[in-house]
Amino acid sequence: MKLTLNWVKDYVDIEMPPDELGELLTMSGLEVEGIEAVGQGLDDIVVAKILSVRPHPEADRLFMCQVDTGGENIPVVCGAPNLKEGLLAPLALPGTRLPDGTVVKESRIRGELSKGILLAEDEMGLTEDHTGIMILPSTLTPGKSLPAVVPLSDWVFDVDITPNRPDCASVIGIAREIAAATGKRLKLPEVETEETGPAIEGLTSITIDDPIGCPRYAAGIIQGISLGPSPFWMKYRLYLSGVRSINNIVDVSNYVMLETGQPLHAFDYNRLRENRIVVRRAAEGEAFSTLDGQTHTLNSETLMICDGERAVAVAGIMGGLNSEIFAGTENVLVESAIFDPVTIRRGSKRLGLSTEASYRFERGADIGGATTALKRALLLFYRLAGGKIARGIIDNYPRAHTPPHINLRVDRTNRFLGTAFSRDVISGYLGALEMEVNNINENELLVKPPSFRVDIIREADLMEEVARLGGYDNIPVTTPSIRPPEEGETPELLLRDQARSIITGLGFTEIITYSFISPDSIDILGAEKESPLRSFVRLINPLSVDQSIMRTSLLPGLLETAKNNIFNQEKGLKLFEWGKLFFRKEGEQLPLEKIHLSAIMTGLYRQKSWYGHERPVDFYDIKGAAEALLKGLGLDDIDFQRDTASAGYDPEISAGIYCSGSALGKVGRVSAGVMEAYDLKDEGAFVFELDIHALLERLYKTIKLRPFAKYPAVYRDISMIVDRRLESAGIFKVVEKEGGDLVESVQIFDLYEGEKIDPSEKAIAFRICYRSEHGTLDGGKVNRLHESIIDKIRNETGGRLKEG
Amino acid sequence: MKEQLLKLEKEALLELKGINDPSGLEKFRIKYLGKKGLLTAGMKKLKDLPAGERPEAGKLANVVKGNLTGHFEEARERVASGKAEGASFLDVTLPGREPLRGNLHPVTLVIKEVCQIFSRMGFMVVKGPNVELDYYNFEALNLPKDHPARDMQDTFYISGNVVLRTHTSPIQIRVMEAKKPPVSVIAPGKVYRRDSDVSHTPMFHQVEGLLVDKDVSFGDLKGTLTSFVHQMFGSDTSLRFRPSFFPFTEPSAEVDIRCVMCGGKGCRTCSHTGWLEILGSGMVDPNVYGFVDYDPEVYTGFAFGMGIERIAMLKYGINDIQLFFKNDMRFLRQF
Repeated sequence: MKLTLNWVKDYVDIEMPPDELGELLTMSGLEVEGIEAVGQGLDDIVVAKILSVRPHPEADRLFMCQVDTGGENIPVVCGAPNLKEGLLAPLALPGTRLPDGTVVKESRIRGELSKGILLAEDEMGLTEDHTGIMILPSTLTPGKSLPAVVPLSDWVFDVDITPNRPDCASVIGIAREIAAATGKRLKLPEVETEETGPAIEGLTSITIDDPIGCPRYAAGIIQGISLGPSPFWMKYRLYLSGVRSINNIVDVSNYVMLETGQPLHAFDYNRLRENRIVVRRAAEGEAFSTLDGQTHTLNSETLMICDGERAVAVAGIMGGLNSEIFAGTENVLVESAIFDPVTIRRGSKRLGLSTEASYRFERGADIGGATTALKRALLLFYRLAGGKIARGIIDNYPRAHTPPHINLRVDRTNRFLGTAFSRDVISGYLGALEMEVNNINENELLVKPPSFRVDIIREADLMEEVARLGGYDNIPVTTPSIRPPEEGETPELLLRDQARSIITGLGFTEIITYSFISPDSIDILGAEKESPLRSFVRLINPLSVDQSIMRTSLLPGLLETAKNNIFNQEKGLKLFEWGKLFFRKEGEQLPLEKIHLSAIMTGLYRQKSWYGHERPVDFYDIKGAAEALLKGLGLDDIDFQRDTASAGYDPEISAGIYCSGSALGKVGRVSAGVMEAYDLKDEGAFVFELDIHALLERLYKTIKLRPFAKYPAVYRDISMIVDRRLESAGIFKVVEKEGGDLVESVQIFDLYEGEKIDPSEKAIAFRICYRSEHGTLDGGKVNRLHESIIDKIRNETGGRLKEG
Repeated sequence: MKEQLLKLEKEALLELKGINDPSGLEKFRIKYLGKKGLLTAGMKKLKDLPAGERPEAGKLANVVKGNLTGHFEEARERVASGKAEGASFLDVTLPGREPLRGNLHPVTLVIKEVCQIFSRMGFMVVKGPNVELDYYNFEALNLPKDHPARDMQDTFYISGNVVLRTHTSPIQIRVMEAKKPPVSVIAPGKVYRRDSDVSHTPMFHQVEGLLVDKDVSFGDLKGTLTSFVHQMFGSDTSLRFRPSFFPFTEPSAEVDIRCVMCGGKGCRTCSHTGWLEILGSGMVDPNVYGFVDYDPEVYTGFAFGMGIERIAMLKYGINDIQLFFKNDMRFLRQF
């Protein structure tokens, strides 16, 4: 909410400078988001009197004026439609800098000399009015500096009003908080009027059909008004508060709403059929046109203000076109009513209409203040537009307000806050907030909050007020004694930290991508109809189609990130993401959330350097990374198996990752189509995905130290030619089976496919490490074993020893 | 024959041990493993053996050959690796063979730091689902349907009753539902709001904290969060608690720290206020206890929540929140 300092000062004395006041409001819970000085830099603008107005000989829309600048008469050319002999208006002389930065110069306009500019309000940055020059009161003296005679300099405070404090969505509400915090008295505005019109009972009647929706409806009438523009001071305050000036009647309604927080609505009395008001629910399907020109179809949830025949306003939200104030309005019925917050909120949501009025009603208006605001409006109508105020007001108040009675315990308050306030101090704080406070006993107070404090219902709400008035900063700082937790953190969290440190050690950088992705990205991966990737959940209200489903794979995020970085000339990416996937679960409201760890490698595995050539990344790089990670986490019985095709992977260059028979994830090259789609063709992309829940199930093993080997190892190498499609794991199995306990490890140290051998074959060389736990191995024994292993491999794989 | 082969092997291995330079290696290779080398010559003699002895001797010859080849390769590596170090001039400024190192995302780094600070104080890290029931995200946090405070957060919906959590606060309810006091937890995670512009991303991260026990006071809240701020931002960081509103706490407090950019003089980062909002907090509202069946007359407690990206921005001088989710290597590499 925006409000001006001068306005607040009408209701409470303020001595401190604006920034200090801002601090005070912020520290009492009314956060000031900005303070702006307005009406500045206008000292050079003077009051001028228009002595004569003649048409410009060369231009139809321009006039030539002689103006008195206080002793000197100068010629001014001006195009304003409201020029008139004898009027006073602000004038900028040559050399004056206007708020928009232009400097006024003496000039010839279509051949006629002009020695200054008569100014409209918007040209001085005061309001947005550009309908004509600003007209000043005729009592001013020409030649005076404008700010010296018209109050312009002010400060606009932008205050963030929390939803619990609708009472502070008003200038008086803010003034009241300042008064409570500074110990000053609140000065309420004048409301008493002279009622010279006929008795209101003879003019109208109010019927409330829905006392739940409308617990109070007050109305007053003023007759014979002259509709016109508002005076500058009101337009200026409204403008600075962010409200557009319309005419004096509508402006007063808005002004009093800003002042008191009570939304008001002015109807053209003559346009109300049967001149009466009925508050009822809309009929199902009823059509209604609001002030903004929109036509709405209503339902029975919407509360309407009606006349004797038809709806004339949507209660608490917006008036109707059929009853609005217009140029011919003479008599006005003004409404000051209270509506049920939930009813207004539903109506506002349904109609898509949010207004200053609905904002206040949704949060709760002051049911006790409706008639005060009404009288204030009538008074201002009379002052600004003349006419006669009908005698009396109508106040239909079917559900009278009873304030909550709240017991406040002093000891509990102090224990809860960590303070040591006495009963009387607490009582004083609450009293300053206009609460009715009575002592029950030494330790207990009975508190009745005022009707505008709709947020105070319980003891805890009062404790907050005590803390607020006492000042949060004055509450002593203490340290709680926290009892140590009975259980450890979940294994997932421990694993996460461990996995992250291993994988970054392997050179992968962490990325975090949005949990929502495009449904297209699932199509791009080529997921089949029954693929789990397709059992995603959709957002009802996504920001865009690209972010409309919850991800079922981390691959789209990794691929997209790789693409963007490659566009930035990054070579050799290694990225990973740890994140949740979301799968629809039949019969459940919430999806299944699964954690995955996935990684991608693209482009060069190694850049060219003084010690080596550059090399593109390949399957064994990504596989090696996955192996190192899994081993690092404590899984040693991992195996990789050629698998059925998986979405996104090249079926020839990919494998499933298993641990003791259960699937942990996938590894492989991204399929050609997917690489094409993400512009990764030239780079090449390899990924792995790990299901963290599956991994956790395998991680029950605890580490048990094994004794070191006592006896030396013996190494023997084998070099063989085998079928190109033979998997090395097959050879390993033979070696392990045949060699038994004596084989400690097998390592492949050379692999050759190419022109020197038959294309259907490959050469593979490996080294076996033999070792016994029981003693030093005898060379002859090892040789015999080694030979039998070679025989076995030959028999089982059809391979042969490499010659030469 | 057999003895000859083994003797050859033994001699060769001995000789190999003494070789320290490439030319010596090459001589060795020619002497033993070359086409006219001793081993090749020995193998050629195999055909002269009686047919019965040939297979066994053949096998042995192959084993010896494999063994010698293996040791030769080892020796070659040994000699090669000595080259850089042992050569006449060592260029110590030549870049080392540095293994590639990866980085953690700045959001992860800040979450780790925040959680570590609270863990040391005795809070336990817990997690909750990202897709939540309206009940946990709003209702049980004292945010009934049709409450204007729901406007404080723009929500993504999966269905009328299921949302992407707009804050980490639903974890409070899940924790209290599952366990009786004392409760002291810290819960990091992703949250989602339907808002995307220069200063908002539709997904971001929060850390939530909750302490409920007998006699926990607002002073304890201040003490805990003051200690956190001092550990996180430095012990000379001044901070202030100011009244605010959250539906699930009463009283509620925003925590501001002195602007880390300008030291309180006022700058763009702090909108010229000299203060930066970094935490929302408050005493758990009695209505919330009603939903989890805690007795508000017996237990009191406080809750707090903070935006991780915001803290990371202050800590690392990041001025654009969008950078966190663009995952540009030029950004990520700096952490």
